[in-house]
Amino acid sequence: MFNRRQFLMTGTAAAAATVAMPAVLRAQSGPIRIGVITTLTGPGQLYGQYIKDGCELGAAAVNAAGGVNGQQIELVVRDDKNSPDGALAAFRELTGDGVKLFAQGTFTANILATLPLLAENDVTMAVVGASSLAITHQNFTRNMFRLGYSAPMCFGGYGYLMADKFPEVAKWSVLRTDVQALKDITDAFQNGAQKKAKEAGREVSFNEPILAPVNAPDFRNQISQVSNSGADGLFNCLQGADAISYYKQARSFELDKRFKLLCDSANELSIAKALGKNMLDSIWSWTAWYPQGAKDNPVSDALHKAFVALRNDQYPNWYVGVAHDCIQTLAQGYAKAKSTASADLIPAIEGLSFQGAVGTVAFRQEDHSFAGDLTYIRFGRSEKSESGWEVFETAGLPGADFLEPATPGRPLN
Amino acid sequence: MLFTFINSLTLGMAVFLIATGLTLIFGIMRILNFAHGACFMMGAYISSTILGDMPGSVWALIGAALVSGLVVGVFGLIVQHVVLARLHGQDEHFSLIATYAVMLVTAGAIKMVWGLEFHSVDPPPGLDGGVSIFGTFVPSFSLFIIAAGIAVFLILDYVIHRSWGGKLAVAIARDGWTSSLMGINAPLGISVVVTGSFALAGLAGGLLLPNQTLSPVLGDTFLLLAFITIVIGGLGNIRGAFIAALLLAVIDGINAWFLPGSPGTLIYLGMVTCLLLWPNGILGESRL
Repeated sequence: MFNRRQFLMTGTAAAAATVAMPAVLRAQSGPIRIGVITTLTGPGQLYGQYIKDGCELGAAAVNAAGGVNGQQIELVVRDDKNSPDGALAAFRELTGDGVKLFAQGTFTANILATLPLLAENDVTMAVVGASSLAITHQNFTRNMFRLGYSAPMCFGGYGYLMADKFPEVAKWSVLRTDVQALKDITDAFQNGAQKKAKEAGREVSFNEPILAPVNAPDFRNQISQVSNSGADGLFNCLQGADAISYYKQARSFELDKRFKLLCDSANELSIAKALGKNMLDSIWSWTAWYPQGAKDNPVSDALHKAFVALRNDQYPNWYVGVAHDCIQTLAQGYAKAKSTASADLIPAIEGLSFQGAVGTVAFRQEDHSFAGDLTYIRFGRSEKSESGWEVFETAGLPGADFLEPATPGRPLN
Repeated sequence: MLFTFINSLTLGMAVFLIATGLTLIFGIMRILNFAHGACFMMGAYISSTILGDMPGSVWALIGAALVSGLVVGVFGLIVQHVVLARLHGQDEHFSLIATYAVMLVTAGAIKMVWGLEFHSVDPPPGLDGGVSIFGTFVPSFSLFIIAAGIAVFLILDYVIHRSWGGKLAVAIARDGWTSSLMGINAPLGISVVVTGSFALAGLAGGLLLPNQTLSPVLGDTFLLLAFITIVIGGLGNIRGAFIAALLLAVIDGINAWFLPGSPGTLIYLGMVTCLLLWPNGILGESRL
């Protein structure tokens, strides 16, 4: 029987042991929590949902393989409400709850809101897909790894590839909204095309960009300007629903017959899935992940099967692959560092190189940029396919050849 | 120049089709209905479900739009009885918040039923090409939208200003209490007009379906322009909305022709100018 004194001493000792137990031991007793901050409301919701799916499938794959260091991954998903304030609120909530590992995407502005807080909260973050130069240049922080494709890399490569494959296209027209990120993309495309043309001793010219309002109901005036531009090639940089409305409204103008070459920036197969049997004859697009073209990659293949089982959709958006690999990055980094402390985790991730769904995942040490493989697909109307369209060909380039110089902490000149 | 003008007129009539319901409900209830864009979107999704990817004919498109209008009208009747009627006589801010809530619920329900992916419905045969007017290529669907806008305006103008039903609605809008004393069933009249307002949103969604991409943000695309139209024209005034839509078309055409590098800018400048010249709108506020 305990007397009162013994009871108090035993209880006090037990409480002291609990408090004094190393934090790492307590952390290792439960799952590893990864905060996922993405856009689940507003115009970016479609892409946020793909990011969520990709992260969940990434975590499921890790857990199915036995977890990391014997621990399962638990995702804590929060909506950034399509705003920097919303992203910040979600970040503060999760860090207040002890979360140290994060994956965040969709829009750059929301990511820029949380970047300055990573170091002071001892957080390590994998950025999902965002392409803005600011993330790895003037707003760089060592606690962030960007698994995304910078504009000079993927769109510089795009312009280079098109100028290489289609030397007959000497004059380009560009259509975009008046947004800085899209200006970066079209500038990069132009630079890439002109670089290749110069190497080949040719000249390629670009008309002044034709601007359209964001989320506009009607693009016919822009279609008219594009049609009368006298260009051989068209680079369309409208995004999402704007792009599809544009292609729909352009259909009666037989846009694909007016140009030798049509290029879309990054809407990839969402155009074909929406337009179906009324798809354009042929169009190119960049994509970060095209699983049908990466059957030799077992990680990509497994993710594709898992996504089809989840959503019954054969053609996932590229965000799924990138988000999946972000979770894999954090998991593999943790497996190596055996700690969530950023001081241990950052060098561990810097030294990583593994096979992800989007190809080899590795980060440049200076600015934590990703220099993965670049994939471009050509697709269009097809009588043979029940859906009314098919992918005709894919082309690839090594991203490292086009990645801009590292200038961490400074804007790219 | 002709091409630019017709394009802008297409935009103006498309906006008018949506603005009609918005101005109608303001005319009878003094409510700025934030849910109107979501109801327009609902009409488009319902039509797409009826038609599939490709309407069989122009009449199939119009028929589906009418069914969409009917369904959205019934939805409006429910909203009227469950939400709006309860706020009758309350401060206008309550109504604003209530319609905003209806918008969120409606948009959320649309996402649950139809998903987040983009969808597209093509123009029916006969409206998928173009015609030559004075040597200028004009898309057939643009002419369809212009014709639909004018037809809806003429029908509404006749109903409101010439028919008995319209005159009763005007009487209720101007003085519901006195109308009731005269034996008019004012609550019934209000319900009919609100139903009509929602139905017009659904009809517009169906008619404009082949012009737009179906996505959960479709409602936002037009709502701002529709609000601008009814503010310029005079809140609650169908004729004012029609004139404002035409003005919008002219301004957009001038913008496209002279300032192609600043798309959409002159519309906002035009709105400011109109409000400075006519603070209550071109034809003034109206109770229908």
